[in-house]
Amino acid sequence: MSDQLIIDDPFALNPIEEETELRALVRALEFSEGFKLLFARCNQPQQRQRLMEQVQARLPQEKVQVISLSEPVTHLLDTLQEVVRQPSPDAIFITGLEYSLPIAAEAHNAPFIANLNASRNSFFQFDRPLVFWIPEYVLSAIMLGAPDFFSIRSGTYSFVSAPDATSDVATALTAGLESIVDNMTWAEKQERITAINSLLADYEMLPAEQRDKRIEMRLHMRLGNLFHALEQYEQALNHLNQALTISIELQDREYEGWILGNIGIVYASQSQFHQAVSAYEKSLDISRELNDRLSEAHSLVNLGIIHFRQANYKKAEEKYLQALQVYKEIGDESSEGTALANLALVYESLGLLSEAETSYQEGLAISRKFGDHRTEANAMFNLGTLYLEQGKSSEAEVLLNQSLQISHRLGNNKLEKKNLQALAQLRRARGDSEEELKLTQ
Amino acid sequence: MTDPLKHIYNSCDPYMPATAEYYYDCVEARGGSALAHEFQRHLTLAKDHLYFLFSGHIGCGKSSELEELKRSLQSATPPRSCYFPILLNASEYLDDYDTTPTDILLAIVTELADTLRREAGIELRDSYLTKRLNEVKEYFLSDVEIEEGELSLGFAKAKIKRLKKDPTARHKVRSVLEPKMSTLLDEINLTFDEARVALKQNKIGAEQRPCADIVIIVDNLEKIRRIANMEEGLVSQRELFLERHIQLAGMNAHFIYTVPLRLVRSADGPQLHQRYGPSLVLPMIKTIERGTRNPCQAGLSSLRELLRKRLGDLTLTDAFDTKALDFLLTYSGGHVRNLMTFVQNACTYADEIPIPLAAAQKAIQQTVRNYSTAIPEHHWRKLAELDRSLDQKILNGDNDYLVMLENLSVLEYINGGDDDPFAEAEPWYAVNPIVRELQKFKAAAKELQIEEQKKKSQAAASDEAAL
Repeated sequence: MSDQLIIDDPFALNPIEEETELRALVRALEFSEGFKLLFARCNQPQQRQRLMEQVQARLPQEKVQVISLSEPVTHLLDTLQEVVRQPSPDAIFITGLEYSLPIAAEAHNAPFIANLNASRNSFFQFDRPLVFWIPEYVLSAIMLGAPDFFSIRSGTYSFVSAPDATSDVATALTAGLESIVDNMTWAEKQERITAINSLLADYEMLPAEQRDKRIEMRLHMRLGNLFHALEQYEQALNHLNQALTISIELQDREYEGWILGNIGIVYASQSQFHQAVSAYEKSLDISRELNDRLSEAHSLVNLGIIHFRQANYKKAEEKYLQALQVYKEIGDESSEGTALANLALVYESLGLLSEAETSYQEGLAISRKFGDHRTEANAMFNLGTLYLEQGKSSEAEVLLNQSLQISHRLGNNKLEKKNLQALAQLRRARGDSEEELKLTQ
Repeated sequence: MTDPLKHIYNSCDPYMPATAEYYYDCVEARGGSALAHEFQRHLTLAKDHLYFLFSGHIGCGKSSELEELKRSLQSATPPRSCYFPILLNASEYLDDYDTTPTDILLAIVTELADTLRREAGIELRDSYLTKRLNEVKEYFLSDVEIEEGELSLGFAKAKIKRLKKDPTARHKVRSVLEPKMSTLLDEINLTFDEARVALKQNKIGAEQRPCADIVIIVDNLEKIRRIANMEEGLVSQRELFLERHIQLAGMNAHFIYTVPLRLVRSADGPQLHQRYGPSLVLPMIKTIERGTRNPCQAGLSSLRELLRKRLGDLTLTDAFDTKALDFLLTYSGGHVRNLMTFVQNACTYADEIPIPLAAAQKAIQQTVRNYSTAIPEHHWRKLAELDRSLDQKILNGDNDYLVMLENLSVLEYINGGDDDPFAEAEPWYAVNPIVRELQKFKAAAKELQIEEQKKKSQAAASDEAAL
């Protein structure tokens, strides 16, 4: 081996060449006398299959038994004792462990992992090398949850998905809309994070010329938004900042602006208004420079929200009006609806109830026209409570009931609950205690 | 002739404790005493039986040290006395996730009887214990075996071990034995007395000297994760070693128990010392010096010697390119099992000996990848804090650091007290040298540095303002 193969920084996640890893794994199997524990990390099932076949093809003199689990097991040792052939094969490959660990988030606490650690001394009985073909999250779960078992390994060989396969998945993952993130369950978001994380790791390990910085940037952005949805703000910022760095590196001003906007949202969620405003303003500057009117207006609305939350109602009004102007100019009526709803909140806070009512009604008309049920339900709730304050209880009741129905259908529990509470209040005001009881239940 | 790489690969197995052939005493390089020396020193001083606690990282060489202790107790030369050591591997008997002190007592007495029979030809008389054993044997013996008549203690090992895998039988046995715990303990002590007498009549070793006493070495007891009906983890370990210490420290023989490092370094650590007596944490072999981070030559040369013993006819220079060897030793952090895994990995990336630097670097890449993805996000900052701290101590009882000790992202070292007698046996901690090189770690360290500078300049500014 010549010196030129020495790695520049052996601690960076260096590109993995499939051939090098494959060859090393084959040699490990050739060397092994008696029991050895080996891991082959590979995220994609088809690739795993292909690699297992290649390893076997290179070891024609060795009998390999492939044990493909297709359902969950809790005691791997017991399962192996049942299925390992007699006389023993020369090596045992195990695959399909992901069925035993379906949820990545708490995988290291799963009974399967605990049993693996507890039975670590008994795998010795097979007297043959065992290769665990597993995806990254299973490997991490073993490392964290079964440290004794993991510590007796003789090697961990890593295989990265082929570039073609990776880019397909990446497009699918980054194409989703924010509302898709909102509608995912907690477990689904976690799953998605795990998937994107390992995909990203795959990319980072590709040889430099095959890496696609653009996709890496989008994956970081996606992760940032997922972590934001999970209220893990530090992680969200971490990924968004990495995405930002790449966008600057790529001189992609458009993405830079978008990412800055998302960074602002994360700060806003943590009520760090100063940082949020700074990020939004940078984003605003970029969108003006690029003449990206839509992003410009979005940033204005976001700035308005910050001012509103800090009770700077006049400033909030100013930003919303500016945004409305832009939305009108570019004919984005649906965003206009959202801005109007926000503007109405400002008027309501300023005690300008008739202005508020007008804005709500205009906004409501727009969201109805576009079938934007989310905004519609919100607007109806807001207008309903406004009527409630004004003592217009029958108008209020109609709106709140409609909002209740839509929010129930959308699975928006928060809004549903708010509507129920408002309706209960309305009944109470009327002295209708039986109805109120029914609603609170 | 076998491929030399294949030879190296198989002789550096991270799974097997070092045999006498492979054992190398790294006393100086570890900074603390070797177990055998330390334990024997306490034995000569002890007026009563010792209950000695032994701890250390996963894979730092505990089992190898215990094996070595067993050998040296057997073959002690005058003025030291010979002892009769019994090495009990708790994992053979106990279910890590469901154990009670009764199970442990049963395992100890079974191993005692078995070792006495095999190694000294001593068969214990029928006793209360045999009777109890025969009361419960129906739960774990087959009908045919029950027909065979009385089960004698000296032949019970293989059968008692079945309880590990049979929770139903285990629970039935417990329900019979547990109410009789104090009697049981008493009877076990009688059995020890009986064994001691028999051993004193029985001369052992090359010089045919009588044995002074019995030493029971319980290995892998630190692996117990759950005591029956208790919460898993530290809570259970506390229950076993602290709350139930009356049983563990109530048997009349010398004992060594392995305890989890997590427990020793938790807030309960000091209590352990009060209840048991002397203890030893086996530190990593030092590869760097505290504070300065200069290479620790004593440690590096111990690691070299330890490897050389495994190479057989090959010399270190035959086997490794100098740079490759230095690289592997430095980044092992003095953790022996890691070093073994690294060497094995390097063998698979090399075409021939001497193993080149490129192969060593590829071997380390595996661990780089594992740590990059598996270390929880909130650990990075704490790792950076430890690394930047001047005293290199961890907060007693901080659960995150206890987890880091367990997953080896933080390693424990001890300094010998050559210049400062008070510094002796004082542990210090360092971030695993591989973790230290990772980008995420560097980012966290840099962030911390910036914050520290900010604080400093703010402090300076407020000083000025005060003036």
